[in-house]
Amino acid sequence: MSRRYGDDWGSVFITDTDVEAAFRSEVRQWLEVHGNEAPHIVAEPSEEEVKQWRRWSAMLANAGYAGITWPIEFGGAGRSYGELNVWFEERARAQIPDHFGVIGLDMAGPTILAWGTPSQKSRFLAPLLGAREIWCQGFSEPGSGSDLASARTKAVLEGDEWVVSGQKVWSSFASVADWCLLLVRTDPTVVKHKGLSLLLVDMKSPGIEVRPLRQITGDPEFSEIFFTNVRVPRESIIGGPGDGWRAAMTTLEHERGTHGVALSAQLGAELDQLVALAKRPGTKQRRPADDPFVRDRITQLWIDVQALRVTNLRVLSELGETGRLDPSSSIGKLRWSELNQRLATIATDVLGIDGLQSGPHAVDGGRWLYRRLRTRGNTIEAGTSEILRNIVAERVVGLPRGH
Amino acid sequence: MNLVLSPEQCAFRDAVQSLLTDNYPASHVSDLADSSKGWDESSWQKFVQMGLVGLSVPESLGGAGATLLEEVILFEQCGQALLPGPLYSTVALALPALLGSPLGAEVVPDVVSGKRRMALAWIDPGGESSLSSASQTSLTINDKGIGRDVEISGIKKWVMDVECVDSLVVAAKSQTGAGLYLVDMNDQGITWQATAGIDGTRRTFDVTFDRTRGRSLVDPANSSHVFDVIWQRGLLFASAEAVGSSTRLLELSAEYATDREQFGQPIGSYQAISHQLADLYMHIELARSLCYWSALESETDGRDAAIALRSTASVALPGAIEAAHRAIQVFGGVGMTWESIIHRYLRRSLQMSTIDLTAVDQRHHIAKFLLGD
Repeated sequence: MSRRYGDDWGSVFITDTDVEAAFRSEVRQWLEVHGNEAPHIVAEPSEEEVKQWRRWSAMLANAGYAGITWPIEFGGAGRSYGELNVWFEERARAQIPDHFGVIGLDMAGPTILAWGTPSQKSRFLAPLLGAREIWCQGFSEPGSGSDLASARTKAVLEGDEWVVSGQKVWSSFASVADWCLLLVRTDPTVVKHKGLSLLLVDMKSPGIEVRPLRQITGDPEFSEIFFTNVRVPRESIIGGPGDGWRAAMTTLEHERGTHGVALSAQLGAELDQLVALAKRPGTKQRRPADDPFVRDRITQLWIDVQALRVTNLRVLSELGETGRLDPSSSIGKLRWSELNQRLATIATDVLGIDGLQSGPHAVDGGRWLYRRLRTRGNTIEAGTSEILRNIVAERVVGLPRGH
Repeated sequence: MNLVLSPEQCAFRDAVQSLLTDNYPASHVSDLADSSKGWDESSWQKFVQMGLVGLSVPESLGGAGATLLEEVILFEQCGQALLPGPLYSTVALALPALLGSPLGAEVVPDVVSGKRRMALAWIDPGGESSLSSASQTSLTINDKGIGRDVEISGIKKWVMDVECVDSLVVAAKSQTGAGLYLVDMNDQGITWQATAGIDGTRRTFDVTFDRTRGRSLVDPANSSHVFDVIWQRGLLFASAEAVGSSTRLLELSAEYATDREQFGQPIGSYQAISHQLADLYMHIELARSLCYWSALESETDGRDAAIALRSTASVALPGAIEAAHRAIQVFGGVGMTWESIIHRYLRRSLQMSTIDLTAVDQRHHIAKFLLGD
């Protein structure tokens, strides 16, 4: 065991299959050649920066790194979930930005793939991969957070159009999005889960207003969306009226599942940065890594991250075999959020007061402070930890329904 | 890396599970734990017939030539059933000593065919108890070469399953290094006394050797690999058992929380209970993943197999203790009774948590790898 952590393959710690290894070296070569063309993403990108980001995303798509597991006929690369994980790991390791259309790629796209009509698939999937069209998600409402099925934004059929009115909140990318995957109530007379539908809404439609919300980090990462008599073609529905809840569950399974795996790969790369931070001499020329308590906290975190990553690989392997995500995949997001918070907490604890500064003069550009604040949202977004525990308790452990 | 069990592996798991649930219902395990013998010898031939004893033994020696992952699946099931008897001692700890020995061809077929059950004696009085210290034994003998007889005099502590086995493998040191010696339980010079230990399903003994005859299994100057494999299998299968125990404890707790009503509702409908069990489920699956990862890394001699294994043990072994704690809390007063099966799982997991270094010490090793000295 002469190899030291981080010597050659960084956070990659699980033996690849031959196909995965070949794909990994292909990805690495591509990133070596093209990595420097990746834009630097800032919290509030200008129009020009958004253009650069879209261009970069189109490059990823052309190289076959968007829709990696999607069928080739819809512009995907038809690869395995193991290879998808390789991409997540290598992208995280190279610290290049995500595809701009992440909501489309990881949430709207899989939902359309699973539920869409042939014409919806051919209309929406290719532009989404190439970042020619950006998606946002309209699920949560001011009155419907964890109780998502109580959503009140309504859509009423008038002739050949749905007329949508209501308010959505916590929508990432809404201010730049071309399309919205929108959860609406189409039938107020039936039990709440059964009266919901999912619409595909053109964000340029008259009657839509987007108001950015500033978060505790200071960034307007997400928005409120107001809909006032917005007219949507009748056929722009996923499945049929009343299928909204089940289709939305597909979206959320992917958000917590495959997207969760991408986030965990990111966590692996950030853990490497924490290890590097701990090895750097800090105040009084002491390395944080020499403090036995810090050592143990980092080591425990490292072990827990490995366990999460292997668990994610099990989930992905299962998805590859059966084509569906088991409710047990909810533990991936649940655990990721806890570990991501722990990582940021350890980092700022280690830095002390130096960790509480932002801007160019701060340690690592203030990244740790940003993470310290941003990660508090991880146990809330995409299903609070409490809701995820309910799902696991009821649908996996088989306990009686709670109240 | 593919981490989904194949259809064959699932079928194997189910077959082992039905063998164990048929032969070892909880009431039977409790009765055995409180009996004078502590195990049910008649079931051993069933394990043998199913090929469980020689699962990873090469086919040329009568085994099934399976991988560590199949054995992990086996021991998960054993942990789930809280199987009493010497399967762990024989398969995890003793077989690797025989398979690493030129005498293996002679002895291993007897083990695989069920004629010989075995245990490992490695702890010295006052010495380190962890399996990783087995080669640092102070019990001294005069080794005259592989296959030759030696005379052993001294004491080994905490030897598991002594009364269920036919032979022991004893760790002792010679002039050139640590060796392993095969001892027959029928030898005149061997006596033992039960420890007032915690686990009735896997009892421990102090064994005294008085000029006992032993056969040298390995060259003490070149034995480190054999000790490594014993450590690897001992830790991996103890972890797999721990995951199995935790799984069963979760099932028992979920059943109870569904049936037991308070304030007019099943207690499992309250988040104070259901969220604890959701967390337990999560921790079990994380530990299971670590077991599979370790099995695959060890099987392929992955570069970091030892780190994977230390990670696994540091999570799985304390995890089984925590699972028992949670189960007792969910069961309330019933969980505190002797009649409940839960304390048997707690006892097993407390005992097995001492098989190697503590979780803190395992992490200490990982920290050196991760953060430097």
